[in-house]
Amino acid sequence: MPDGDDVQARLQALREAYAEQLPETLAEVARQWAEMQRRPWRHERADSLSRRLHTLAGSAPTFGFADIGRRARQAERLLNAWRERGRAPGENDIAELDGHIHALCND
Amino acid sequence: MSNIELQRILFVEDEADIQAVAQVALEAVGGFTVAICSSGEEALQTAEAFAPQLILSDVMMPGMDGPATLAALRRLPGMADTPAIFMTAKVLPHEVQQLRASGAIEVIAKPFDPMSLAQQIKDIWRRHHA
Repeated sequence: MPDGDDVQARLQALREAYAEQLPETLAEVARQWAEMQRRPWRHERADSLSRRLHTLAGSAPTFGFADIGRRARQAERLLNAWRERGRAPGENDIAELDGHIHALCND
Repeated sequence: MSNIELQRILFVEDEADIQAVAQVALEAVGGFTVAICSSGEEALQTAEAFAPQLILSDVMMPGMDGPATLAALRRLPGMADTPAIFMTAKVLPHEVQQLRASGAIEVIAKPFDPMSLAQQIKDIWRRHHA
């Protein structure tokens, strides 16, 4: 079994790799959200963004990015609430989610 | 109390980043032998030959989710009573209750601490076999 230093080194390497690809992941969230706003509402696009937010919410805190995880979870819950209602979101809904996603991707 | 030592864990998780951390947590920290599967379908293909003593599964996955994967695994030879633990961020009391009702002996909250995950699992295993 590896010693404690080896385990810590492996975990640190994983954290660094995650941190390195995080900006690209956030940019993809922003791109998907912008795409959703440009086009008519479709469940498939919401599903894809929801899935990405869910992944981010689950993984970011594991790698030390608690705030990003929390914001991704908030955005995921909001988006899922729309999906469960089964109809296109209204202007207020869009503005609320836009605020969450802006905070997630830019703060 | 039973002295059965936990060695083989079937880990089902679709996220590569989480797989990598969990592999360190379970193999390097915990000393377990782990078969990592990226989907419920892969778990079904792997389980019989690997003969896990414990199933550790994510809940929300594309395709078969955690409870559906567990239900399908239960139908494989020798897997009807294999203890299962779900790992999820959904840990509200009613959500945990639903997961237990679907056959899990315990639910571990995400995010998990890589340094303490193995001990958490050993404690659950010990309680289950007490």
